[in-house]
Amino acid sequence: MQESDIIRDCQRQKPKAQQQLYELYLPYVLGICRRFNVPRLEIKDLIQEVFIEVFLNIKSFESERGAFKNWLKIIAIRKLIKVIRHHKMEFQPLTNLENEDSIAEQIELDKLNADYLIHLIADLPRGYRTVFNLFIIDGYSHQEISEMLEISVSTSRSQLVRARQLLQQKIFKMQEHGVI
Amino acid sequence: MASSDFDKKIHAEFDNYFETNVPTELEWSAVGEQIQSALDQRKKKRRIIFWWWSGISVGVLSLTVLLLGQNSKVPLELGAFPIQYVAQGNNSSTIYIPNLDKPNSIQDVEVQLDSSDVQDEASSIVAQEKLPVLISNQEENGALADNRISEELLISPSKKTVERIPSQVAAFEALSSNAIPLIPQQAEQIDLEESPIVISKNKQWELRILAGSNQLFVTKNNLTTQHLEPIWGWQAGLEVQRKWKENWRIKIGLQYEQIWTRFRFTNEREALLYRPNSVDTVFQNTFTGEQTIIRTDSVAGIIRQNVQQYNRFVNLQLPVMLGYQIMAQRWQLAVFGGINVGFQQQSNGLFTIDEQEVINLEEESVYRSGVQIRIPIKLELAYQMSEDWRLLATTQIEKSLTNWINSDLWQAEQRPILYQFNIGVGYSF
Repeated sequence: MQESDIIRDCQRQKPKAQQQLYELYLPYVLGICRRFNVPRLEIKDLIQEVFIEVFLNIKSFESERGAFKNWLKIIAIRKLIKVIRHHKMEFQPLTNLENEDSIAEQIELDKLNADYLIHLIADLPRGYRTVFNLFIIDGYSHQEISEMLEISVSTSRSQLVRARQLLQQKIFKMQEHGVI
Repeated sequence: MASSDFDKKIHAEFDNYFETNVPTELEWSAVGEQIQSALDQRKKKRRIIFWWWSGISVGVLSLTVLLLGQNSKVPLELGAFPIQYVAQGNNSSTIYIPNLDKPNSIQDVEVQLDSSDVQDEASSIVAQEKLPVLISNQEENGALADNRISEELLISPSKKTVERIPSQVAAFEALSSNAIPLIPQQAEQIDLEESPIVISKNKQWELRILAGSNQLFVTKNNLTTQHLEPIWGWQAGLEVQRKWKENWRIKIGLQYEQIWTRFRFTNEREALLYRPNSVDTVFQNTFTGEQTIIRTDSVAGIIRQNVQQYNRFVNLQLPVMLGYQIMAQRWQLAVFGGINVGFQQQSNGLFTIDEQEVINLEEESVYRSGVQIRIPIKLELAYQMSEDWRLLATTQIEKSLTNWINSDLWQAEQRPILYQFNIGVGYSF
């Protein structure tokens, strides 16, 4: 059964299709949770909430307006931000930016792989990680991020710069030691 | 390498990233049931919110219409007469409706007039349509008001004569007050015993008190081990009704209902019975012979009994309805439709045929509550007793839009139809 058929059946509230859609997109939502480093104990509740929201609102999904995956991601991130905001998010001051470009130039991009990058991103401090994910991977603007996280636009920018720098340093060290 | 290249690479790696390691605790077999039940609850909640909002919207709309309609001059239409002709052009607060049974007798009176009284035919036809009235306040004008007796001119086509028809009401007034001598023949023909109904134009509101019996129609009865006895109950309530336009009425009410269901289990069941203050043990002192009796509220041991189950529903409902009313003399017939939103509480328990309560069985006496939404259609017959009071008889059929509490457990129609019959009185103000 194709994705469009599953979605259509979900819009008709068929339980079998709901199961199929869940099984199809659980790894994707789980991937989002992992890179945001959602605590393990909260992942189950979060994923349930995401799919309940999806099944309740799937009638409003129109395939002409975009891919289902993107629509699902918007719901997942909205739910995820709510969970993240329950935890205290510390935004680090901006320091040590001088070496960013020099490190970046030494990174071998071809060797970058999501399977280990996800662990590196998840290890970033919570503030860095959240802004980095939202801006670089999920495509939100600083203005949108500032509204979502209730921070200033300049804080969002500075967190991104610091996150990128920290991530590049980690990747560089791993590549230097031949781990990657 | 520029930062943008690094960003693009990261984005590309994660844009289509699917986690390969899915824990078993997140598989559908582990969470599917919870998701489904949560979905059902949310849908129910949404439905309830939708109906609440619908109810509130209808209520607000009705109130708006009521408030806006208060200042508009609505012509009255009572009995079989086109009162709107009368209502136009004066601000009278009271309109006297004549004795409707005697028009022909008055029309028998013929007076020959001289030519100056004759008007053209067209105007006389118009005059014929006018309902003669007596204006009670003092804002009268024209000859009709000056004379205190209205007269209409009518040309009889066959006789080519002019008939002078005194107003029925004016004649009645004159008779009552004795102010103007009447033709004796006319005076005899007016029946003074049956007084006219006096209805104030300003009385747009009506307060009603109604009470009666109800019956729940369970159409899908899948009972196999139980026999369902007729489901009936009673209700009482208040309604406030507002006149809107000529024949339309809007009403809001508050109704208390009690409905009983009673199941008779076809087989005997094991039961521990509740029998207050029954003798349980008797101790006897062997020396003094004194007896000590231990009493209990339960019958010792579990016995097999024919057991019945009752469900008692208590509903507090807020109906909002719009209706159309037609009138004929003192009788009024109206049809209403709308929405009825309220709360339902259910309690159930078991008892035996001899009305003893059953205790300690798997079904214990419990109380549950929930929202109850119905679509009512109401037929209403009213009789105008006096200026302010009306006698009412109503029948109503209501289709439930929400499940009756616990109806799934008693294996019957979950959204049954409720029939109600009420009698009551209404007071206009």
